[in-house]
Amino acid sequence: MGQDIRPNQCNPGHCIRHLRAVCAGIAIVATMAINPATSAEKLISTLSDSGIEINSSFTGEQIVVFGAITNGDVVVGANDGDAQSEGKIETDYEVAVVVRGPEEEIVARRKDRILGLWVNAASHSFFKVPSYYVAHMSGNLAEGASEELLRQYKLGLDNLNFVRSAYDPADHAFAEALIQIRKDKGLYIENPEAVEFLAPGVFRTTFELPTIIPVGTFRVSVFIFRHEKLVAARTENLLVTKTGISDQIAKFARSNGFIYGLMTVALAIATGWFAGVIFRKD
Amino acid sequence: MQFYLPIAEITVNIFTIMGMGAAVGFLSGMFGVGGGFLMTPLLIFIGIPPAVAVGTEASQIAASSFSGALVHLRRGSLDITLGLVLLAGGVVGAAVGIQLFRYLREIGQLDLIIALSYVIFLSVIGSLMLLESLRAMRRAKKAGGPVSMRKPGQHMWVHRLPFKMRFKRSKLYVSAIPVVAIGAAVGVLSAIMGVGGGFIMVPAMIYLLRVPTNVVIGTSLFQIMFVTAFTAVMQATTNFTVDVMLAFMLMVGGAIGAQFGAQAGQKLKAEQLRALLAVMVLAVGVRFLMVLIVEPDFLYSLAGPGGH
Repeated sequence: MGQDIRPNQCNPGHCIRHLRAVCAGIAIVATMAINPATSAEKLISTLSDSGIEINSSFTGEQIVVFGAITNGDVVVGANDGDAQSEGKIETDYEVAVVVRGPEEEIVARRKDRILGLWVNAASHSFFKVPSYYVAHMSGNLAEGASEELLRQYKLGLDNLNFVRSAYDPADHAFAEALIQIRKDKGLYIENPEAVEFLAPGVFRTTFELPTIIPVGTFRVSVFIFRHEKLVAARTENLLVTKTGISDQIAKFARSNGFIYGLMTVALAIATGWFAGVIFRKD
Repeated sequence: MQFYLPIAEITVNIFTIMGMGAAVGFLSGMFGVGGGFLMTPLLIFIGIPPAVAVGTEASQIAASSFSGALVHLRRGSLDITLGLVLLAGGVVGAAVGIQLFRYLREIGQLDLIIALSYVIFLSVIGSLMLLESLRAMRRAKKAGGPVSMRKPGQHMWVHRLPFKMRFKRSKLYVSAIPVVAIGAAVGVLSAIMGVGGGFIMVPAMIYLLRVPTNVVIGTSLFQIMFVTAFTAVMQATTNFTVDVMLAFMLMVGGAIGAQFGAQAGQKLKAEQLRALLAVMVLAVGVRFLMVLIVEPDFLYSLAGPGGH
């Protein structure tokens, strides 16, 4: 939960900050009087990479999201010497970082015992399922946020559209299974304490992209709340593309399947012949 | 050394794949079989999508059977006429098999049919081979010499069918129908199971057609080479499931392993080799049976564009 600054438990730093907050508040009110649409806080954020290239030696990738909340030109609370108390950074803000991979259609199947054999029986189709999904939150948001808030901004796996639309218990079991399978593969990640504050207005989080991610545009959204009210949000694109020899092979295989097949067989025959020549004994 | 496979779309260790190729190549060189029935399950086991495992394995079998067939061609232990008739059936069977493969994948029963085919064919063939080789070992002990599997002079219903053809090198005069039928059955299996089908074709040629044992291996390799090459091209065209980099790693590993396997095989008696092979075939069949009858840890699976 966002920490309130209470004058009665005041240490000097807090008092100054409180004063400053009051001044800022007056300033906000003043600005809002002139231009009511302007929000006080601004969000600056950046990704450690703007794009990912899957090449032949791709073994997954880590992306760092780094952000600062500014008010006017000043990073909120960044220069407060006493910002740290008991190893924890006190902040008024709650942060959520959501990453969504390209959407796809998925069929989930359940095995049942038929004539003594475990066979795929019932199935359920899901549409617009994100191929990759991360919901990282700051600890204060995860602890204090209401269900409504999380639902409104679709934060967390339970609030994904395909999960919410499968409200029937039988369908919901398929949705849960889908989530479980993708969690195990590192494609779905939900971590309520993964956004870390470096200073009251400066935060950072890191997420991992496994080797099996699909290509396409990934959307990285940062939401800043203050006391459960959205004060700023920003979405950046992260483009995942394939490059190098593997990509060229895959593209050629897609566009010229027949010739690709013939070339594979030619390679097979050449290898077989070569092996015969090397190891020939008679 | 890690490599991202273009079609399978996963990262693998090159040396793991080549090592698998070498291990299966060793066994196939030792027993004189293609090894598809071992390699395809192994590939699925390490996480290659089953469809890609089946499609890719076809091209690897084409490579290993080519070097095998070449040896038999030089030795003259290859009946090209018989091979061509088997091949005619094989191409039709493979074409049917690829359509069946695509249909089964769409309805979500491909894995079941792959597993069932492995259980049925491997347990039947494995049991028959084991019984036959045990009998042969017992007889060899009594007689004190190697035993021929061919019993000439016996005639069955197969030999009363029409459209008779003469196969000179096999010294056979039989109907083309069972030959085409055997070829077609093997073609279907090659498309669905990712195997060459030698384990079906060799016994069928020996026991049903009475082909002399000395031309059986060479002729079946000849047919397998063309059918798997055809299957690989068809899979690449219709299902996009042939991974050339994966295939190449397997081929190189396989070629090396096969040489050592062939040397090891020469130290064992034919009956012993057949008994060992039978045990291995049965083991793979039992492994697939377990998958079908033991309750899985997780009942759900996903199917989508990437299958992840």
